Amino acid sequence: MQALGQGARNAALLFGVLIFLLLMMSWQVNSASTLSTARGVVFGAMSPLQRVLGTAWGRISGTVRGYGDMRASIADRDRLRSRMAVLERENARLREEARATPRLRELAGLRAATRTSSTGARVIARDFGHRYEALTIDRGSLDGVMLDTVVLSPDGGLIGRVIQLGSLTSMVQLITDPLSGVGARLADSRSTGLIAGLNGPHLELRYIETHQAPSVGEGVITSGEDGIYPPGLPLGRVRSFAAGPPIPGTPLVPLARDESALFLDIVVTPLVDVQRVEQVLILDPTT
Amino acid sequence: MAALRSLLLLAAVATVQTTLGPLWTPLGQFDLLLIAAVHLALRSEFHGALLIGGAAGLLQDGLSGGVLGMHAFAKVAVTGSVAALGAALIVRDVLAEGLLIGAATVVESTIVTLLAAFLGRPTNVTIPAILLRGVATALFAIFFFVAWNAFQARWQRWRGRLPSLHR
Repeated sequence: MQALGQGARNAALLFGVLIFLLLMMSWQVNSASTLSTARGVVFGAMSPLQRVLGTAWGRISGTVRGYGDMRASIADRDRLRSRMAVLERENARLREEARATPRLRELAGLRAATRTSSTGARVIARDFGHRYEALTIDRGSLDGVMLDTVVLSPDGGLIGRVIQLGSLTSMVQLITDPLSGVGARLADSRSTGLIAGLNGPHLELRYIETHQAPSVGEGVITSGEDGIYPPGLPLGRVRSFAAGPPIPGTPLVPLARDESALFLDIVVTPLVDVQRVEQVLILDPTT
Repeated sequence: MAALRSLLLLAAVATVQTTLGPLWTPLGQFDLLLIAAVHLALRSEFHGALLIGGAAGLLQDGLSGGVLGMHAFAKVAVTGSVAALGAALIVRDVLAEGLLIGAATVVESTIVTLLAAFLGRPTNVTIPAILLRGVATALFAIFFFVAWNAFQARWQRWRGRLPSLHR
């Protein structure tokens, strides 16, 4: 009888804890925030450990990889020497053209693009249970990183923004996270929409009207209208598009589907494979 | 003291999982935190098991970008069930523990996937992927525990020989 009572008490305790956790999740969803004090405490406590282990492991693997790279670089050196001669001639020609550019820009009434500075950082942690949602980098508030600081890949593709700050590390929300939203623009047609993650390797471009159909392979860039990401950063290329789901009640035939949909379902292949990125650039938030 | 040791172990495992996962991809396929949580829960009282599950889940949630509490919910449910099972059955065999960990991984991943759908977060996790993760985690756990037991046995033998060397 006593064991039965103990079992009932345990079940009640388990039920109570689960209800508490459910309420905690509901509260976060309702408050539309991914941040919380509890998360900050956990992240702040763990980030120094992650940084130490990540740095140590990075050095070991870097040394091993460095040896292999050194052998490959000897062959590259010879190839590059001959290539350099060709490029020097090309460079001289481009210099001549560059001298004429400011005058032409002035004539066209265009302003020079804003020059931004950036800092390099290394990816030190990633939760493989949520591979497309966030990663951790080895730069934090002590390095001048702030919340919403924009993070790019070394070749300039957008990766995401900082959503959690530690003193030595930061958590970056990836553009592939379903909770992420980036103001976007089709590079050729200039239609604007919103890029959202699909928790997978591709992105979805929303709110492009059906009469503004893009072409497959068309570039997608940031529009700057979200107030977080500067305009003109490359996001990816249109992979496929189709008319959206039909209005409920309309027959499921292609003609009705096309005509009733307001927006296109556009799938975008991101420029950056967020699963493979090891080094990132952090845009200086002050520029 | 035992609770503090368990928390430190979980923190270390979480650090290894999140830090080494990106550098060595296979490590990311095993849920090391769940292995540690189930292992500790099997050897704990019911309340301790709930604490272990909650701590492991909150650590995982805190280090990922997801909703705080999602993994805590799943891990508390799993470690609570494991502790209840551990009170009824004695699970000390490595193979049995590995199988239990595999089943726990499947249950935990299913709960997380259902919660994600419930909270409106799209997910691309499929049933075969969940089963594969369960099998991979079970095999990894069995391999790890066998290796660990062998290491401990050697260590004990080596320590046992030390006094005779001094004599």
